[in-house]
Amino acid sequence: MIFSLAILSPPSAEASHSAYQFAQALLTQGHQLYRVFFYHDGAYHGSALNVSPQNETDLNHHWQALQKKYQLDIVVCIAAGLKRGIVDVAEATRYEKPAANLLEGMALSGLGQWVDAVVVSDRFITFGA
Amino acid sequence: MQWLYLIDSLPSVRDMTNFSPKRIGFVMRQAPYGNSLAQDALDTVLASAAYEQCISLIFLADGVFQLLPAQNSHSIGQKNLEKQLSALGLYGVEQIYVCQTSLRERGLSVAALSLASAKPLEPLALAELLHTQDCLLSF
Repeated sequence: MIFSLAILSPPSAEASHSAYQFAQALLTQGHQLYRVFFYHDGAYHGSALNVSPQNETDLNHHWQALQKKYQLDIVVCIAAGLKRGIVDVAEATRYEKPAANLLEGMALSGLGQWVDAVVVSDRFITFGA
Repeated sequence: MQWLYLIDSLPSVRDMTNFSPKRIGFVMRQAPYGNSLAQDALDTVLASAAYEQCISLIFLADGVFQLLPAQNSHSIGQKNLEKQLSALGLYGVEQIYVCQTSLRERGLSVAALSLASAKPLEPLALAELLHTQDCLLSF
């Protein structure tokens, strides 16, 4: 079955951990994860600059590892990202910001990617709203 | 509008003409202000409308507060959600429902709402509506 997920809560939220575990479970069971869309406060998952204490889960980099393992399509909403200071090199240049911080393996894009995922997927699940 | 810029600037949205439109039910459960979830939910509604999906809006729980008239959001530095909701018809979003139970629980009546097109539904009819959707997006 084709799944897509939208995650609206920040990495500190329990719902975000549930989303990650759900993604792991469906991939382990052989389902397809078409897209992960970080929206609203979920955009904070896109930062490469977070540092988690050793005994806490670093969701941002966990997602990055999952992306690499399964070649996932992970999108951070560009409007949500810009508002929260999550920028790639192109946006940092466009808005003359001192640095870019989007995690490698993730992409900034628009809500069209959300709609596309809803249309293509058998199941589209929102977390953290 | 901001969301239009977002769609126009997309590098590679799949050509969705190959897919038949889906019946998408947006379940709006958030009060209009306090955080930006109600606003962000509305942005996804408008994006879906731009891609000609078959959209139903269902206002449930504290989401019914989004439909109250005379919202003066300027005084708290927020964009006015009521005005944007009243423009939904322009985007072809006409299936708008409101949970009668949620209204009653909050001492509101459908006559007092700003959106005249919002159709009140009792729980059974609401459940039937939810069952007819291909996809439910809950905010």
